[in-house]
Amino acid sequence: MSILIPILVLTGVGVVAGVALAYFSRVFYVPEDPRVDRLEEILPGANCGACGFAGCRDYAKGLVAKNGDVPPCPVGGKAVAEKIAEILGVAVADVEDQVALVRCAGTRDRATTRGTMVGVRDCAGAALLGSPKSCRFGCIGFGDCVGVCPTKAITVYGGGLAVVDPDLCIGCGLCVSKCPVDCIGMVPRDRRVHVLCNSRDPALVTRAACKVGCIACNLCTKKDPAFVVASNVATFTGVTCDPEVRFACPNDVIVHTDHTSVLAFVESEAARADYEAEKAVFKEKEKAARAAARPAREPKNAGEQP
Amino acid sequence: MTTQANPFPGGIHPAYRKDLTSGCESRPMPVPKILVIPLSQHLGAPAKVLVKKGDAVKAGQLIAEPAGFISAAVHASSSGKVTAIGPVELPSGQKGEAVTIETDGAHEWARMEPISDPLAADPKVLVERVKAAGIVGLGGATFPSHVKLTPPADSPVDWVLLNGAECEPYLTADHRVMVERPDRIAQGVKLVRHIMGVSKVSVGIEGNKPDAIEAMRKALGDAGEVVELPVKYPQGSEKQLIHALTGRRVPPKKLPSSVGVTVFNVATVAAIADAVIDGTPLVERVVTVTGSGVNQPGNFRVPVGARVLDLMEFAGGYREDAAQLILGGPMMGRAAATDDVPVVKGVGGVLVLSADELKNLDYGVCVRCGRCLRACPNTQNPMLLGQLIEKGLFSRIDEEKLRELVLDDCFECGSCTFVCPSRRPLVQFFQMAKGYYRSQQKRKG
Amino acid sequence: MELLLLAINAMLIGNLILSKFLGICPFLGVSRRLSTALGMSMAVLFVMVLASTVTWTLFYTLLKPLHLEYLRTILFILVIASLVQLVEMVMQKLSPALYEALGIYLPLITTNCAILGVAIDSIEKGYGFLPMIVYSFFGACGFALALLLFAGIRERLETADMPKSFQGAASSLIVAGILSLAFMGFSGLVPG
Repeated sequence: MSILIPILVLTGVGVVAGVALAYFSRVFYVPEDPRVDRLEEILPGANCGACGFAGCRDYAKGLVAKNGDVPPCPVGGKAVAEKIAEILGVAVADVEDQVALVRCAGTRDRATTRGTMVGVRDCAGAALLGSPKSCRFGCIGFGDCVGVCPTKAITVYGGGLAVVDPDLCIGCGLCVSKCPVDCIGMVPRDRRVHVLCNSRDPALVTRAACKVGCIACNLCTKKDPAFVVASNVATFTGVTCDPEVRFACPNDVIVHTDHTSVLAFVESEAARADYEAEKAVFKEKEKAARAAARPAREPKNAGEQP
Repeated sequence: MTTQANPFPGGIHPAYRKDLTSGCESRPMPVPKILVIPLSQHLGAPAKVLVKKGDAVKAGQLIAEPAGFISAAVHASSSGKVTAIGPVELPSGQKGEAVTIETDGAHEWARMEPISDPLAADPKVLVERVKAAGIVGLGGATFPSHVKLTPPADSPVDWVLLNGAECEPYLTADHRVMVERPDRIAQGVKLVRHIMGVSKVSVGIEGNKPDAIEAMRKALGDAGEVVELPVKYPQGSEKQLIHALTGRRVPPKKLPSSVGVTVFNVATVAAIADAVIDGTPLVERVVTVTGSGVNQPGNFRVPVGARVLDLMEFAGGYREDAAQLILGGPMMGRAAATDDVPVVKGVGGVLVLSADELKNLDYGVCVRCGRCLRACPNTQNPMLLGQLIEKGLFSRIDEEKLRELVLDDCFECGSCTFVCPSRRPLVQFFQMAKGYYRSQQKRKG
Repeated sequence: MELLLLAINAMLIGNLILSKFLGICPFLGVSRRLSTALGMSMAVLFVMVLASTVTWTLFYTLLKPLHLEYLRTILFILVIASLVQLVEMVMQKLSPALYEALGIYLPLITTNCAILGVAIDSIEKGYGFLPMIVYSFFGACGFALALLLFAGIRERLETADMPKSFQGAASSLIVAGILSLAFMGFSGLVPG
């Protein structure tokens, strides 16, 4: 019988506390938009702050407060933008799924240097004194971007170049704003062709500074109009192109490949050798084709021009 | 007429090594074959180029006009032909547009009309002349002088200071200007007084230049007082000098005009007199070439745009053990990667150090000895800030308001780095942080 | 005089964290920054006094007459947890500013052993109402003192170069131990 008393007491106190809590939660109810919780659920939860808000919950609050009129979540991309639009009942903003790309192929053996940076190895500091590389637009390679990347998608490899792993990149763009030489850019995730150069210097300056620089010669634009040359550097604007177009580049800065072999392209000697071999084959083929085409067109001049 | 200078907190006493060149009279450097004249030799917007490739130019001819209020004109330093316009490496290490001139050796002048009786002329005309002559602060900051001569209406200037401290070790360029051209400086002082309508003028000269003090006292007479400053680095920093001479303190992030003061370098004032009285634009400056890696250290009157390699050739070339080229002084100058850079208006010295003078550049951890706290002329805490930056703890810098208090006020004098027993590159850390905040700004804007 | 001794005892000699090792969780968890440590301390101060008062009252009005003293631990947990929830709700409604400042720390306190420890301790030592209030208030002050000291040290430690194996938790625990040793020195303050 005596066991009943403690049970009753505990139950009683529990019930009182429960009722009190229930009552107070109603009396002191603070209306909070339920959409905030739902929005927070669908956001990536990376809390990277790339949207300009302090974390995902803050972003969700901002979305509700301004009814969607805030910059899109760069990490979530299209899928998240659609869900946000559905919850808020507004039109889908045009968001592209993007990844970061280091637009430089100037490894240590390909790009010339001005001097050695002694002391603190830091891109921002080095850029104040002028990049150690002769090219003022090339990747400095001290890895400031590595530090800001929330998913550790960037690595500086042996050649002194930062390379972004697209599988890990969530497209937040923090590295883009960190890079003091604007070497990193955002590109659509499905783009398969890149011009790995950022040098906006005139051709002569670029050529003197780096073996693999874009000199804006326009040879690629003639092959494929998706290449656009602006301020002394070419950019590919489409999704993909004929893989042979890359051989048009006299300085070999075009990669046509899936993202991971951007790494091979700038880092691996073997990959470079393969590229050279393929290019040689292609050139041979082209030469043969030209030789084959020429007699038919103009038999008189055959053999006069290379 | 003796005034006691106010001491500033902190500061250091490096080996000055000025005796290498302080007795060397400034010799004119012959015009080299190639002149590379950058369009951005001043603080503010780069000048807008007026010539094109193939044009013939004369000495003193305007080749680029100021592009905005805070900008300065650029002139050809000698006669010749424009051979290229494009990016070149500047002494700062950055690249910038420059006009390359192949000189013809004739050195034909195209001066501006001298202003006769300038003390009766309208100050506005004189300011226009200063602007047209492309005069910028020759102390190193290269702030356009016409801007300084026209302070904003809400902060009138009642005291003009002349900076002859030259606290930077090794350099003697300003020293030589004061010894050789005191009368020109005095004329310039009168012009500045007339332009700004100011009667109080003080000249601050460090006590290790007694000949300069004497020459300036004699030349200035009643036009201004000469104050002997204690020998301590960085006495020649603008804010420290203002405090020393006037007792006023410039608040962080504010210009000297906010406390009613304007500071000119002594050489700048001489250049103003040149422009007004002779009509000569700023196409030449005194440069100290010194250090143990130079064969014939000395002071040279160098045409703006002469490349350092030509200047070095004129100074007898490098010694065999020369190891590091520094543009500017050892404290605030910048290590140069190449000598194929032009001497611009802001370069007061070319220093070449030999291999055995270069210290081991490895640095250790902070031992919290607190020497940097005592050396900092801004009475700040370089120790803590350096550690925070090294560890990338920028959020704490923001939290503790160190950015506003310390970083924005730090002028990178290098005193903290100089005294650090662990050889910590504190100034480099601060530069890193400034780079970080710049990229933050970029992201927001 | 007795109350003064009690206060010194609660704050320094019998410091909750450093002598009784109660509330180690927030001690290590929220001591990375001085500002957060201060917020946590204030929240603990508030809740500790409140919870001790309520549990003390409950003990002497409900458990003692029914001879159910052995139920106190389980009952106090229940009461304190609901109390903190309640306080959070009230605060959110009546003072959103205070809620923003303390709000995130309140859930951390819900099952904080320091709070429960003080509540049980004052029963065990048979304190009357006033000594109980003094004990809980200065106990919380001692908690705040230890937390702030530790946060200050950790802020400095953060900038220090240490061997990798010492970084983070390892050095924090060592510092906590040294702090605890230092607080032992207070035991000579009160004779006997």
